[in-house]
Amino acid sequence: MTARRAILAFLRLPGGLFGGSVLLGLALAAVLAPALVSNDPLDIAGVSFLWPGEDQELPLGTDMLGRDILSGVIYGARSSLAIGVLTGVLTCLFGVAIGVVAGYRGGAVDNALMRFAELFQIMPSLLFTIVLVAAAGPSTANIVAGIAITSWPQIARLVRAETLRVKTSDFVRAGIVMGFADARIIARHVAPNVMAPAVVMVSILAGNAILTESALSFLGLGNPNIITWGSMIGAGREVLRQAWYMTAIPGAAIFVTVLALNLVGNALNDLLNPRQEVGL
Amino acid sequence: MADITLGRVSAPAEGRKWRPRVPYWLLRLAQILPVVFLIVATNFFLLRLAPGDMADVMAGEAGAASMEYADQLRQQFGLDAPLLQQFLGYAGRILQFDLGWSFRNGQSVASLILARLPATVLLLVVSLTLAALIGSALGALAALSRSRAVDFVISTLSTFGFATPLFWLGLMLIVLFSVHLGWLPSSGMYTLGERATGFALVLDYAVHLVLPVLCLSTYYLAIYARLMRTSVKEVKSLDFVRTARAKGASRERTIFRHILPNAVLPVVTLTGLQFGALFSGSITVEAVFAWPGLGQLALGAVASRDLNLLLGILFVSSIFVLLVNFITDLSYRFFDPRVELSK
Amino acid sequence: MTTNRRDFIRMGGALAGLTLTPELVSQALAQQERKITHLQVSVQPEPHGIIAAIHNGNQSFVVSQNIFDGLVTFDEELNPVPLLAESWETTDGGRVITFKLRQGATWHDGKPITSADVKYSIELAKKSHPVAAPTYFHLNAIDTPDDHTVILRFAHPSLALWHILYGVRTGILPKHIYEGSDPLTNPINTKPIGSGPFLFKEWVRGSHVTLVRNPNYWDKTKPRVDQVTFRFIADAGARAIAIETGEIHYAPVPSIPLAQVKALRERKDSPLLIDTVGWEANAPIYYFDFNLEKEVFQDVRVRKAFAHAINTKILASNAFFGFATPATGPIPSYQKEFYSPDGEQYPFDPAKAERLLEEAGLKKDANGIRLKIDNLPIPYDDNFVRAAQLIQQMLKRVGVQVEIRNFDVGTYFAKLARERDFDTASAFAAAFADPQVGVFRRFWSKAKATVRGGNTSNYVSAETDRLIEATLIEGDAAKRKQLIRDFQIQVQKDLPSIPLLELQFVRVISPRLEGVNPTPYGSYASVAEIAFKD
Repeated sequence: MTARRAILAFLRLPGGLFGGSVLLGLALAAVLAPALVSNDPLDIAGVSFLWPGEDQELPLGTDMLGRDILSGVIYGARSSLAIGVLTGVLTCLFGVAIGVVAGYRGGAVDNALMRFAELFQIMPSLLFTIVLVAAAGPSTANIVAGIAITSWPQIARLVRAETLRVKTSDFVRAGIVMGFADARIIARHVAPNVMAPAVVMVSILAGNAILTESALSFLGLGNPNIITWGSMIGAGREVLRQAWYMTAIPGAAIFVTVLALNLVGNALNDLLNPRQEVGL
Repeated sequence: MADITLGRVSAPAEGRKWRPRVPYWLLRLAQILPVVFLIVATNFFLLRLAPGDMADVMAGEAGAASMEYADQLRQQFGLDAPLLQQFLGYAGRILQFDLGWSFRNGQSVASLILARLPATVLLLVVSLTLAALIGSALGALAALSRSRAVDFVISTLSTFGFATPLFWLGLMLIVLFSVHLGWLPSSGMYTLGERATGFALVLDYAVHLVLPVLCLSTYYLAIYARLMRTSVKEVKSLDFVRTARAKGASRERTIFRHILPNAVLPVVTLTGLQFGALFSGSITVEAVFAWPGLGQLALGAVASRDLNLLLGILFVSSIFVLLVNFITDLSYRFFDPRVELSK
Repeated sequence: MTTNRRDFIRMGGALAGLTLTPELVSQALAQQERKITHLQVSVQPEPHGIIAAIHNGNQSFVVSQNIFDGLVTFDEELNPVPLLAESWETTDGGRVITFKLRQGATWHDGKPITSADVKYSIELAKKSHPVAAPTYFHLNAIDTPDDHTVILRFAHPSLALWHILYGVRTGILPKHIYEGSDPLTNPINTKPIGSGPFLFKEWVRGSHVTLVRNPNYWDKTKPRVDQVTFRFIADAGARAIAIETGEIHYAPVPSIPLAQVKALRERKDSPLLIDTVGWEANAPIYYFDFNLEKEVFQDVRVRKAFAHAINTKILASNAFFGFATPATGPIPSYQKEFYSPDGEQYPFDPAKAERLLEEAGLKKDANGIRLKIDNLPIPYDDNFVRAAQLIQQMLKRVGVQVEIRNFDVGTYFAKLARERDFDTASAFAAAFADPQVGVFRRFWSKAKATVRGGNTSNYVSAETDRLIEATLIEGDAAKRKQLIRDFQIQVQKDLPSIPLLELQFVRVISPRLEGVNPTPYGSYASVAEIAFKD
């Protein structure tokens, strides 16, 4: 299948089309943020507690300090997408590496790595991330690290299973008999088979990372120097009764973004592994 | 927000081939012990690396305490002993199920956790049961329904469920049901004040449970629906199902006797695995609804740097998840018709 | 565990013994006839202990004052009013104070309250109380000639003494329960035996503390409700809703986000009384501290530039929603006797700020940044993080890039006091009714080792130290006032810390209540005088 045909096939899936365009739009908004909105999302832009629609200049209203909510949503897309993508990629690299090694090596190495994976699947992930952030400080790097550390086992297991399956295939056996280097076998035969499900997982994990980051920010453990959708919800929660729009707007932004990531994941899955659902 | 977990924590069949004489549960137990150790070690050292300790917090809260006061507290709590010694002491006590003393609360960690555990377990069990029952039913319906619309609606709703931040959903539920409609209480586990008795008490708990459970079960309902749909679809296409149909079994009989019992297995596995994730979800839900459970206790412990308490909660919740997994693994083998067939 | 059980049995026995008297039986019957009155109070966050003598913090005080009586309490002019002490006499130029204790007052276990209890408790406060200890430093002896007389003998007269002697600062503990144990870790602390108008009933962690009427209280007119429950609702939104819907009757410590208070006050259908009365004597000052160990802040021009760059009016209106007024010096205007606006002032003037920074040699780089620093906001409330975010924007305009570092309470104090790992901090500290109790600790070089609200700037000035130390032992009110005025002028000139705002804390009172304590320390006061109007 050529790349062009693949993209066309992807876009024919309604979920893929919707998710893809939403993500594209968000990515554009994130990159072009300074051009789209003039107000600094952390600075006072007008009267506080302005409801959406009350002022044409501030279409989504202002928060309790008088900060522009539209500007917050757009700049929030920056941090949320960055955290999502960064975490997804990190998790994927780490998970694929460990999964391949565990599956390919087998034996004691496999056993040890899988115990290690089990550790992070057992420990409640949000609690672990909270502890890490509380211990090492609420920087974006620590948040990304915390989420990645608790997410990689999912990919590692998937990749390990795939590696085990590929390992018994005739190609690989032949390769081993012919004395090819492990790296070459992995690169030629294991990696291509494993990449498809891993790519699918990245989109779903990115969505999860955005949710986890928003939960941390909501609990007041986020980075106070940047604006994120979670921190906007956390601030809005205090005035839930009188100004629920402050909570509803960034929450809807998270919902749409994570939904788009999931839809893209599903569409990729349908395209790349037609017979297999994402094995939740 | 929660883990989407692929595959099993450990496939039960793995061990059997190479060590048939060792009972499976023993083998599984042997695999668990290093994980327990890793849990204790990771958490302890992670927490110790952080600046600021309990003495700083207590002295700080004391208004204007002097450094001497903080040092006095530190010495009193053994916080100035070498790190390794502190860890060995902690690990040693854990082996005797002594989780230590929470100085901030003036109570033993075990008693604090025990006091909060029932609230969290109540929330988790009710949410998980509801999510499993309704989610599985919807998933099966989606997979088996002849109408594509039903499948589409259920699949779409479950995708929505994945994308919703639980704490946000909780806040929106409060806005709707507590603030605008005034139907349900927004916080707490029961009405404080004159305590009701008998049926009224049960009703009181139930009324307080509605919103947190609705909120927490959404995500898991989505997971179960999706998983069950996949699982049923897979089983439906297996040979023995076709054979059953070919032999003249009715559609209902095929579904209830052949497809569902087999399709439900991965759901059982997932129930064990999701306990850890469910606990993560309960932290934010407890925060939103002021539910007096372990999640709230943990957040308080983080804020006040109550080392012993935080370690205790991480330990107990991890062990709890481990145990649930252990039991699921055993029950999986027990209930798995394919394992039965192979005997 | 055996101690616990024994204590429990002892307490249970005491309660059982009480219920046997005919008077109490008839009282109980009378109570059954009318509806039991149950006051619901919000306290946030949950205190780590509920005994003022042992646990220091506003939340601890609020609960403690109902279980424990102090020697005295205050009236609206902050004059001492008898409580456990029925009367007193000051002699020898203020160096000797003789207390007569109330006859017939008993502990909740039935034992009489004696001078031995008072002696034990003051000695404990002198030894370990973080706020009271410095003032007790000159206390030479405590005599107890009989069971109901206590004589305190000081080396110097202290005009701030009453602020230390009342129940919040010097809690009176039952010696027979605590003697021989470490008061800090005595297991009885989770179910205290006190002397006050209410008996301890239960403490459900993370949820509430419930107290019930003490039928043996010496003042038979109190308490006016049968039960009081202090509820800890962690979520700000949920808490506000519980208060709005009338589920909570009284919130003495700030419980509703300030952002919502304004709106609540303006609503016609919500007749809650929201007031700053009862917090005046706490007199919190919000300030911007420099770490003077950092070279850049040793230049007073930089410190003054920061003061000119920060718009305190905007902070007061937008971050604190009007519940604050710009401060003019280290002493809040509430301390009328001592407050002086004569110190140097630094009005909002970004141009001047830039000039001062230029003069100090801090030139802008290509990105318009002349200085990169961090700021640690006090982690007690989201308001302080948001205020720091506004300060961040204000300083950005004069070329100073601020990174906010947000920590949990423990890490925050460790960074400030132990590690000294910070450039600037934005925090508040209670100044209380006398500078000696709440203000000096922030500017006295000998107080530099304190953890909270201490001399975090590490400000060392011989002149300021001299003024502070002279004040502590000055027995003449007029001379003391002059010393304190000079202190303010000196500190405003040196500006080791920018005084930003005088904060106002609010409490919320249901219109159904009457008898809520209106004195400047009223938020700390017991709820014994509160009753339902209906």
